[in-house]
Amino acid sequence: MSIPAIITLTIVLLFSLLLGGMWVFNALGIAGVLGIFLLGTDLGGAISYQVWGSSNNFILTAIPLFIFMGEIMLRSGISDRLYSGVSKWVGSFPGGLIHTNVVACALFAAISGSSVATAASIGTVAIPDQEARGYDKKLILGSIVASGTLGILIPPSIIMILYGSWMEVSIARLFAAGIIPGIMISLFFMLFVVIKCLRQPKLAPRLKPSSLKEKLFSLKEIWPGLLIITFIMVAIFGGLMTPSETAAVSVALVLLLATLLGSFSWRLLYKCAINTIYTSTMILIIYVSAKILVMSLMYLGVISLIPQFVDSLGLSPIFVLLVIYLIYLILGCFFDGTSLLLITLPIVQPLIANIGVDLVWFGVVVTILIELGMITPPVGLNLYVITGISDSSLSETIKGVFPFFLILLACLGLFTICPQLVTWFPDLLFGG
Amino acid sequence: MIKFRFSLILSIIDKLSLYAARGAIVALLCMTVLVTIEVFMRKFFGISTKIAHDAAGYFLVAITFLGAAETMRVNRHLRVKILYDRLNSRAKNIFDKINYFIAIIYLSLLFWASSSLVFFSFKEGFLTESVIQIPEFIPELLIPVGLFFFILQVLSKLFRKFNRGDRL
Repeated sequence: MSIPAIITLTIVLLFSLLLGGMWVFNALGIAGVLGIFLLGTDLGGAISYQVWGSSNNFILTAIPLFIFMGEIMLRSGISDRLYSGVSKWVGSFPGGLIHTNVVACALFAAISGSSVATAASIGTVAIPDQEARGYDKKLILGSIVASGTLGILIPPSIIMILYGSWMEVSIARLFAAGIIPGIMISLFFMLFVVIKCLRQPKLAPRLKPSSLKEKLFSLKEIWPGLLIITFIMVAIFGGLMTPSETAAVSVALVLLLATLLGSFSWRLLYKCAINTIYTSTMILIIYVSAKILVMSLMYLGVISLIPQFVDSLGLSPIFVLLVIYLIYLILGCFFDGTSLLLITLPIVQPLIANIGVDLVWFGVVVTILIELGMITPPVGLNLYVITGISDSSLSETIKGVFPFFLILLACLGLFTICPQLVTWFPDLLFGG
Repeated sequence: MIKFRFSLILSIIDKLSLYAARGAIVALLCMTVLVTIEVFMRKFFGISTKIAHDAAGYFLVAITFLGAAETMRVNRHLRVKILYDRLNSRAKNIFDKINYFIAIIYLSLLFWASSSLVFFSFKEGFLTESVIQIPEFIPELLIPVGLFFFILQVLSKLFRKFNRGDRL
């Protein structure tokens, strides 16, 4: 069989299997195996090399460790404390508790590496409370669904660990690069809520301003979360530990905190650990299979053909970048974040290298594109999670999240026009 | 009688999946403890265990493969269901059977390739590159072991599909 025919068959098979409801790891792997087999390369050697090499990787140990830490924080009641503590500080702004959703999600994002976990943990506490206070449902849902996506932008971030490991980019740099965009997006979300609620105050009644004593007292609720966030930031950005080491020590620290707060039990530890295994295995098996696919594409010459093909079209780098954005936005409607990243990176990596963009900056941009995918129907995971928790209709959630989607899209444009907003902080910390 | 025996086999497979996942939990806890000890030893005493990073990599292999069967049992492996959800139950059933069948082929290939790797490392007497040199086939063995449980779990799911859903 000719090489172009094998390439076509591999790609058609991959997307047919994915759309046919096949597990993502299986679709990636079987497409990769078929390509290697049809080429007549040593199948056993190629597979075993990739399976062992990609799963025995110290950088990736940060994934189960950060997930484990997030699980313990979530199940030991830290998100409830965070929500009630933050409400004392921002609840009196125009938009009331809606700001609590944004700020609590941003803070929880700095503990958890997952958007779904962030949205679910804050949503579980916030939605019933704010509904009971008569807040506009669409605004509640939209703010939580969108702010939940900050979980993968504000460090630690599972998506950034996967990206960094795949592209061989410093994960500490990527984490640092996510901070300013994460804060800016949070502030834009809050600005939108202020403007909307100043025009229609009934949407979200303000809370009575808290006294200084109440605010200080609320720190009692927030301090465990703030302590962990501070530890993670100092350890990684201070160059004291690698992200994986930081994650391991954070797990130990969180377990100690849970014990001090009286919420530790062996049952809790088991539940957190088994949930960590489910999530980590799901991500890591996809990673291993994606590596098999990329080896197949490399053998087939696709990896070197793509830049050559794009060069032959004579397109400008910015046009190539916009096409990549468009592809991510379209695929984001159909794939979840992890799958989207690992399916596209083998193709996008040579393209990006060819047009010479900063890989740290691109890591942040891809993360924002994945965030957009998470709030885009029909497969936006955050939409379904929050719709499920709130017992509302999907269309109501989609209507609520739409303005936040536009803000995220505008931020993506802003970071494309001014890449320094992304690269300034990591350059400051680690040198240019 | 035959039905009873099959249900017993299926429940044994489910238990094996759970026990393998518990092995993955042990690996997760060992990884946490070992890396934490490494950091403390280095920061406070200026010495390194010299095995933490390599061992953590092996624990990651255990988490990835020993947890896979149980993750399948509780349906936590990711699928894109955009078209699948629009199918009627009969078509879904057919798609599921095809998916399980393809999964068995893929996982069997991985099992064969990783078993060959283990056998090769064993035959050549390769040792790990860390300070404590252990035979390399030992951590490599985690892959075919995990895949074996994974294949059993997929087979059990396929069998359940052929017996009108999850009745057994």
